[in-house]
Amino acid sequence: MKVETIAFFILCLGLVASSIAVVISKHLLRSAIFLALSLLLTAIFYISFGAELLAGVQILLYAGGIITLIVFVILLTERIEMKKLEETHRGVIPALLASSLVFFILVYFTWASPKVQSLAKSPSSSTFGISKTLSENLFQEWVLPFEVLSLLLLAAIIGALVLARRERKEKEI
Amino acid sequence: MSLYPTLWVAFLVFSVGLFGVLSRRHLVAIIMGIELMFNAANLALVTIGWAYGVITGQIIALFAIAITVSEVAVGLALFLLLERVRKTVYADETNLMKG
Amino acid sequence: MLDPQTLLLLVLLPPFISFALNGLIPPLRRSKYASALSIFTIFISTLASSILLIKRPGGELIFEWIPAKLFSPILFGFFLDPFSIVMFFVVSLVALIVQVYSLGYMSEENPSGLGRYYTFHSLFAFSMLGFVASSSLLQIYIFWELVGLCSYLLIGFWYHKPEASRAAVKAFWVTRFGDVGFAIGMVILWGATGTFFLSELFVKAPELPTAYLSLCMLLIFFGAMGKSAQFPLHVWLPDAMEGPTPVSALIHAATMVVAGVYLVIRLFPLFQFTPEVLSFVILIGSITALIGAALALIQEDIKRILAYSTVSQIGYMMAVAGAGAKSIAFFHLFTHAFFKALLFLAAGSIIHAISTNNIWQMGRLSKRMPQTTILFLIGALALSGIFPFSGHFSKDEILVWMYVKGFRIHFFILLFTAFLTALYMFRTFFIVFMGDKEAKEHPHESPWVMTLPMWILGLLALIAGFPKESLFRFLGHDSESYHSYIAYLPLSVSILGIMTAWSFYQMKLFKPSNVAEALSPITSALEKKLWLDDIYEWFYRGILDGLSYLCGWFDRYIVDGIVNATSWYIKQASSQLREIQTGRIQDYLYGIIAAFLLLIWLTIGVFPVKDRINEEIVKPKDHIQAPSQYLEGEK
Repeated sequence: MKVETIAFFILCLGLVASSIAVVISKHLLRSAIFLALSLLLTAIFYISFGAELLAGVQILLYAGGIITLIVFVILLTERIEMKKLEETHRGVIPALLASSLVFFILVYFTWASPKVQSLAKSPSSSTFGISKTLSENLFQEWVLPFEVLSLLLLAAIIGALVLARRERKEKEI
Repeated sequence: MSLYPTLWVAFLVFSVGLFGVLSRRHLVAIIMGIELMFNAANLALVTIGWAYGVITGQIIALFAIAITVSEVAVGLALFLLLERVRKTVYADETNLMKG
Repeated sequence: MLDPQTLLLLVLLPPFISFALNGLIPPLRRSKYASALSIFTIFISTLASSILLIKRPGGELIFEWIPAKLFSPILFGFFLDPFSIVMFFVVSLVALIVQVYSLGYMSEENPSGLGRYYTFHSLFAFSMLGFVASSSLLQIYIFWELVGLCSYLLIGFWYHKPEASRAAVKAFWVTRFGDVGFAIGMVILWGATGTFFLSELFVKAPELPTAYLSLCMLLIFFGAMGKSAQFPLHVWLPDAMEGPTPVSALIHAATMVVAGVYLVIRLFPLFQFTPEVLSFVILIGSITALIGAALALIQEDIKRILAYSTVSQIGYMMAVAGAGAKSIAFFHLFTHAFFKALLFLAAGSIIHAISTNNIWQMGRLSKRMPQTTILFLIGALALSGIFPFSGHFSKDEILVWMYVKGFRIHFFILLFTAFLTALYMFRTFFIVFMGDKEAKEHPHESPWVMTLPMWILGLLALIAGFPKESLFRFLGHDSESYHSYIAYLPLSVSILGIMTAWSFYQMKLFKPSNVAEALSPITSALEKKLWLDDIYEWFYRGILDGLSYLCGWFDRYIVDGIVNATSWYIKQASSQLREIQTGRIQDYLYGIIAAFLLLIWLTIGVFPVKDRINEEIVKPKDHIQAPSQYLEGEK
């Protein structure tokens, strides 16, 4: 076996293991740390597929921003009761059944599809990780979705601010 | 790099995330499960785009990341509000939608 | 350095910057710098448009607004042709003069109100300048609505006065009534040709069936009728006089109300293919001119007299534009902008001094306000068309053109209107400035910040007629010299009108009331404003209320009956079904999973998906032509 293959399987294993750790860990902060780990491992996947820009965005925005946000929120609510951080599960059996059903259906879907089969045999595997191609496409063909998305982000910011704001008395506003 | 193993890893992570969403009680834990699902979907998109040789996969993944970020921001804000107003952090203790 | 593009931006952007800064920064708006900023920016626009007038570039500038490959990029364009350049000059200059004058007129306003006033003024200047240069119908429509909005805001500036807010709403609704026609016509035209750009429309539209094109142009002309206060949609303009007088001078005399005429001039290459619509335009124009003048004759409010006079003068422009002389219409628009703004500012000066609009409460003002008297006289002479004032040249051209082109009936209507114009103008002049009654209050001459702008306008009203030949050459109009007794008729009837007014109101040789009694049917009709307001009200009350009563009955008994019955059953059913709703989020998620699995099954088993990705996703549409092709256009 080549070194690349071994490294790839280690990567896969790490991703799956950290993801499982996210959902079964008893302590929420620990979950968050594992979530960060699994996001970082995904970024490595992106790099190996030649998507460096995406990997950068993943690390900065996702692993950096979202994890910080989640940790903040956990720490903010911690002050109520320490024991609320002890996370429990509920209805494990149906959840396990449903999610494994989804997994097997998805695997079957890709396994049975002739198109995916032919792709797997001969992936075009052209690397266009060059951010230039991405940004050219983004700002020409996809400029309308891009602009709409910026509106969505604005709405999200305002919405989050309005929701998380503490109620104040009239005169303070 | 090959298509099938990566896709299946993505599917596995998706299912694990789904399991988390379905079974966890703490709302932040549910949001983390949703994050895992999003992440897996992005990974599948990038992989398929790579196999086809089109850049569209990466672009949609980029959009998906932006949407996820706004979703998390609003979701966590809602969570904070819920915690403040109803004094609970558990999904099964909020039953406003109960018929 | 000063290429046409920079100059265009220098004309358009400064007022917008002033509007944005004043609009977005409340402390600035409340400070005294708001007015200074507004005046400074419009001054820059005036300078830039003067340079444009000297350099006279040509062509059309096209910019990409939203560049895109997936769909046609959204473009916006500006004409830099003679019409828009001259209009730039007129609009920015009159706006500058009026804004300076407002400093004096609105001096009693509190700072925040004044800031609001200047913010609206800047927005108006920007939209009007954008309107005159727009080269696509869609863009024209956007700016058209923007000037309408500014008009609404400024008429209702003193919104605590119920008449003012009512007048604002009336102006808004009546013009909007016409704009509906404009919008429909524009969209039909777009549907047939696939473009909003005028230069492309001029090529494509003539190939349409004439009836089709006529419908479009008629609908578009409705928009022009609403905006330019043409009969029977003129009812909003006299009421719009509730706004501050400088606003009336700028918006409701010099610039915005002539937007309809300007639209007809702009679209004339399309109108000329629809002779029926053109004859309708002439008819409406002539009727409006006559009715406006007749209504002005019996008003007692000095601003209303001027408002009806504006209606009448715009009728002139419409008539001659419809008769095919867009350059003459434009020339009259040009001179009218100056002398009518002057008249309004002079009226504002009087109102500022004695705080009433009623001409019967004025009198012998010539002693107290000599400067205003001279300026009002200049304006009145120009409006009546006396040599050598500017109105003389343009009105002469209009009447001669109507005669030469064989519109004899319209010619006589307009000639009679010229007589009425001189009559009502000098009726006002003699009552207000001469008369034998003293005004009750002690009027005083206005401060220099008001008289100086008026003197500039007075000078312009005096000389604006002289560059006739060079203006016509610039606009590409070959004026035919026509020497006949016809050429002297307009001047003679105007002098006759002045003499009639003098004999009635100054020398009291005849009693006006005797004439009024002799013509009692006409007089009473005019006093009721031709019952137009009543007709509209009856229309509204009768038809709309009746219709809504009917709809209300239908809604209450039939629609609600069905709804109530349905909801009763649904309520029964839902009380059974509500047990499903547990209120736990995750339970709902199982439903989503089931639906997801169903979709997968459908995709695999029932509707197999074809491979689409490798097909061409993006089919580049035929873009509207690239900008560079336009720039080389007309030079």
